[in-house]
Amino acid sequence: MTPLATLPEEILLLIFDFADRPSLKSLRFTCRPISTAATEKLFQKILLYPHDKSIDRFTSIANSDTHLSQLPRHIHFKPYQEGHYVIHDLDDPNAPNWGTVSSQFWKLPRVDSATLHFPENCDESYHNQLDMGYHYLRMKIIDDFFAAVVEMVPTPRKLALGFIYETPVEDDHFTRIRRVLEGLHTFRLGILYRILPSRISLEIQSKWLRPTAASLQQLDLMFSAGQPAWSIFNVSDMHFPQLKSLTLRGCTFAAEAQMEWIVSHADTLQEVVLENCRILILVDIRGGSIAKASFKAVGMKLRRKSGYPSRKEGGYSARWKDVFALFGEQLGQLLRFCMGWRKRGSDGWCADTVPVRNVLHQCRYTSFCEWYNDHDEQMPYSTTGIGRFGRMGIHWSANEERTLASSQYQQDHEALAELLRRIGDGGVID
Amino acid sequence: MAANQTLTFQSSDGVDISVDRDVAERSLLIKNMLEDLGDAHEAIPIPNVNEAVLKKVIEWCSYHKNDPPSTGDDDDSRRKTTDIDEWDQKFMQVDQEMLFEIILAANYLDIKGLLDVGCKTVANMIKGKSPEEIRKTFNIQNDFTPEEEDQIRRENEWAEDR
Repeated sequence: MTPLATLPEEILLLIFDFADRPSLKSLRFTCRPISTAATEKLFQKILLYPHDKSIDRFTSIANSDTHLSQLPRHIHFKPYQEGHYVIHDLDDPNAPNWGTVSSQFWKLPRVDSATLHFPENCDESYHNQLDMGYHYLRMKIIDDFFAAVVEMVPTPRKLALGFIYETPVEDDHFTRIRRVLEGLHTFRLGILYRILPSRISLEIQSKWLRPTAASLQQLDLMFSAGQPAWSIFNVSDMHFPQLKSLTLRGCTFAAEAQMEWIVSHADTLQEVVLENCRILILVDIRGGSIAKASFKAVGMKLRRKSGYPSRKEGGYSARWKDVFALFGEQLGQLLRFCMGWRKRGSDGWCADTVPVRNVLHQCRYTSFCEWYNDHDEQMPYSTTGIGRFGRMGIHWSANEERTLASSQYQQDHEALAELLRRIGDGGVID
Repeated sequence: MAANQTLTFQSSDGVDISVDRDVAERSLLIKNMLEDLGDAHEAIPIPNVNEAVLKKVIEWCSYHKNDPPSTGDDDDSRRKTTDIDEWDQKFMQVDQEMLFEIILAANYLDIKGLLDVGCKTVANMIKGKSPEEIRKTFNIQNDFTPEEEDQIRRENEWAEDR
């Protein structure tokens, strides 16, 4: 008797979830029933990166005369991978032709999930002379990717796109991008900011998300791990009538309107995950700051700072305990809530396969202050947690004991426990 | 809810086993059934699970009765780690027949934690082994022709190792 081989395929697939890929390759040789399940797992996801080997493998699977092309469910496309082809060598005759590769996506009929993944550190050339060529190539890859995805039948319902800083232009090509976005029920959008917070960053969110609004059920909005004040999310001009699950990663709450936007989905929202999010309790900027626009766009009130004629001051007055209480009262369908921190990979990407655990991190409150160090102006705060950005000094504090009493942190903890009790989540706070 | 009610399970081979309600509710199948029925005063038949296996399953549920419920049913979150805590490792030191019976019972009764531990145990038995070693471990007869093996070898080249 061979019990392993006689287990139902459903059970074999559960076991093989935990098998590494070399194990799956060995299992394929053992006997037919086991081989079938192991093959299914091994080819479930295709990783595609800039190397001839990867491209050959992809082409072989896509054009396989056996059933292999029927197996992949997910394509993970990484147009830049360290140690392999460098993306900005545009004129290199050996450069892989992504158009040819992605135009074969349609040969994989069961793929229902696609990822286009630029690592957060792949734009090192952003500020140098390669800027234009690099930007052109990125746009072309995005364009090729969507041209391929739109040809797939059925069109994948699950898409991940990031980290990007591109705002799509509303041209002919955007028509097919929109067609893909309109059909999605799961969307992960990763946004990269390098420059100061500005209105452009808000524009990226709305341009990419607006077409998905009608059908989207799961939204995962992820910001690259930069300075907190960069990543203000603002999608308040959109409503997602079917939104069941909302994950915000690396987002900064700067105004009431952002909370109101979440609560406006109370009828459908069953899951909220806040990963690496914080409240911006204090903003202290120069009158002419380009960051002003993004603070104002979410409805933050800025006033003149007394004693400093050229400075503006503002902030969001809510504390996390208020947010937890608001969610508990207003989100009647909520079954799961999580507030936590996850370590990012070296490419800045945060694996969505690992669940977030509840933990109230010290860095959940932040402040933002800017000044120029070649001016006489004194930095208004103590010098802990200061970052530099060119000639401009940025202060973003991770530890707000300066302004917040330690009892505040305890109250947050109690309010989170109360929220979890209320929705019957039973989650443990680490 | 009453402090802790005692329920009776009847195994497939007709043996009655009493079990505390909080332990029994580690099984989502039982939990949902009790929610639908209210209270169960008669023995609950567990048609697919024999006495020896059912006792093992209840032992696991008793030890883990205070674990937090699993988060969501997102099947992706199951993957990644094959670490098993010490108590569970010891618990899983049974013969293969029993191991597979436990997995099948955990699947039927919908006890995710136990199902995962069982699957991880099998995955760890496979890890690092050649096809021949796997066949030996699980007493599998090779039913592939040399031509088919060549085909598998070729196709394996098309899959990434990580």
